Amino acid sequence: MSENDRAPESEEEDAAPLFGTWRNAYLAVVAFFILDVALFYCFGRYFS
Amino acid sequence: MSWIDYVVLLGTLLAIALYGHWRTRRDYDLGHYLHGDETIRWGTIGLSVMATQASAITFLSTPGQAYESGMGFVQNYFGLPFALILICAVFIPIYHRLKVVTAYEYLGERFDQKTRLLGASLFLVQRGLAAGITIYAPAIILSAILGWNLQLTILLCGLFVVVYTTAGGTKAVSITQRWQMAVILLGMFVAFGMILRRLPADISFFDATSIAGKMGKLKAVDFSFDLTQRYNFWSGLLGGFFLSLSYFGTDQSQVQRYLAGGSVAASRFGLLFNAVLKIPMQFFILFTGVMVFVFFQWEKPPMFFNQPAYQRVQQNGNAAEKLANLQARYDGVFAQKQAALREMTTATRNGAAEAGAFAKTEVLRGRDEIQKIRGEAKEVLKAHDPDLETKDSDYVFITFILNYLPHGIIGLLMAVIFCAATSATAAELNALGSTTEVDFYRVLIRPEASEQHYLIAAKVLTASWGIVAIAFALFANIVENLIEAVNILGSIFYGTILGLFLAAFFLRFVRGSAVFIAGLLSQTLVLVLFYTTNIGYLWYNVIGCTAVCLFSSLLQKTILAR
Repeated sequence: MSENDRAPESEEEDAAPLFGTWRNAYLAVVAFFILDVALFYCFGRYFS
Repeated sequence: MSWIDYVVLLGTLLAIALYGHWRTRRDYDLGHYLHGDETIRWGTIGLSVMATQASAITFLSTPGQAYESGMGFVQNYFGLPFALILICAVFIPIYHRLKVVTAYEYLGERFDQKTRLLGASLFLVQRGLAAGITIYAPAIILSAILGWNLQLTILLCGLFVVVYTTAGGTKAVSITQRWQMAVILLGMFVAFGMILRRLPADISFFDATSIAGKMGKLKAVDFSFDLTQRYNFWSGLLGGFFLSLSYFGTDQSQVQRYLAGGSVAASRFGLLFNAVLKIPMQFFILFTGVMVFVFFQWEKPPMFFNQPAYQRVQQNGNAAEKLANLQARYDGVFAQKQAALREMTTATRNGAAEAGAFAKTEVLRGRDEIQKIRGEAKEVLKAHDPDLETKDSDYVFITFILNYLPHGIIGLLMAVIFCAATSATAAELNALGSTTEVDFYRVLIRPEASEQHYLIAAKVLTASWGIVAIAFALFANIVENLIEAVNILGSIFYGTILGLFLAAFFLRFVRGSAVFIAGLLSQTLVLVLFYTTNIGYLWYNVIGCTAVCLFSSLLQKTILAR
């Protein structure tokens, strides 16, 4: 494997439609996960 | 099932398979067969990835799991979003840049051929067995409940998938999976709506949820840390992370799905679609199972859900008497529990805390008593039929579908089960055939041959794996809950496979021989732990992966330093 395989992403690869950058897209996924867990936890507690 | 159900079932299955065949009728080349083309968009990739993971077992077994143990199984997927983010950031750009067809080609590029073959071999063993379970699981349940011949069900279901997968390859699999997933989602929403409709008129959705919560079925998140506990937040987050990282990052049945599109962005969006939707989808399927549980608080369920097996044992005079006594006790306790349940619901509505608490105690006492009677009934069944599988949770949802839903809807839900079975099996066979062709046939048997020759070889190998999977399904006898059986099998091998890839990505100083020996040692360690300890299976992913990274680093720094 050449060192190019570990090179930083090109500008084209780094641009994520809707989110601007892929980093923003990943942060949105993490935020969604935290929301999921919080909702499930509260849901279980409320109805127990 | 009536003729309407058979028309809906067969019409749906054939329409989707024919559509896939029509869309790929002009794609004769090896590229389309092994890795699709750039016309496949991120939405198709996302649904295809989801359909590959969601086998028939997901829809038969998961609601039953929730019926029995509540919502805790959803934690199994908590590590998934983080794993998919890492795959999007690290794995996908490298796979695209190297233009690999299989993930294991990358191991060959980074290390050497023997490590590539080790990774591919572990995948083939694990996925070959899993493909057998994927065919076996729905067949065993459907044959038992519908009275179909088990062997014939396995053969027909298996051969149907083998034919269209072998003929169409990757592109056909991705296109058909999009529509199969659409049928699956539609069917599950219809099933959920029908369950709510079948609840007593005076029980609202809020009442039903409240009953489920008070009976301990809605605890989806458990933050306690216990290594022997199968599902808690930590095992789900950490073990689930490694399981998902290995499954989505290194299992060819998934890698082939998201590399099917032409661009990095399409692959990434396809995976992030799953990172966002997978957990809510599993929550919804489990919640459907919980609503089936609530439904069976008002409609008396059978004492044992595998009714054909129950009736077979009942024909034995001695067993019949014992079962009749247990049934009488069961009926009495069920009536008492139902009365207490009604009091509890009324008290909750009126805000009468004391009366509600008292009624809840009675309900829980009734629930425990029913569990005890069911346990005794299973002992009677086991005593008279030692081969009988007494874990009946896989039969809960199908029992509900067949006995309480109208004709037409039954056909639609049977189509859901078969769509799920065929979509998951097709992806598995597609990946098994491709891996054998690319990583073994081209490397060890025919390094120089024409594209046409490799295309035929890929088709023959795909069909051969189909026959292996069908043969395994014909001889399988699985005792675990079926969805757990697949996850346990995966966890035994995934840790080691993932370790090979993580060493390749992040341990730059490690070379081929060190990681190869470390892979063999780690797989042995996981197998020894599996047979000798009682560790929750998700931890095998962590152990296998960590062991490969640790052993390979140590070997590279010491014995293989020169």
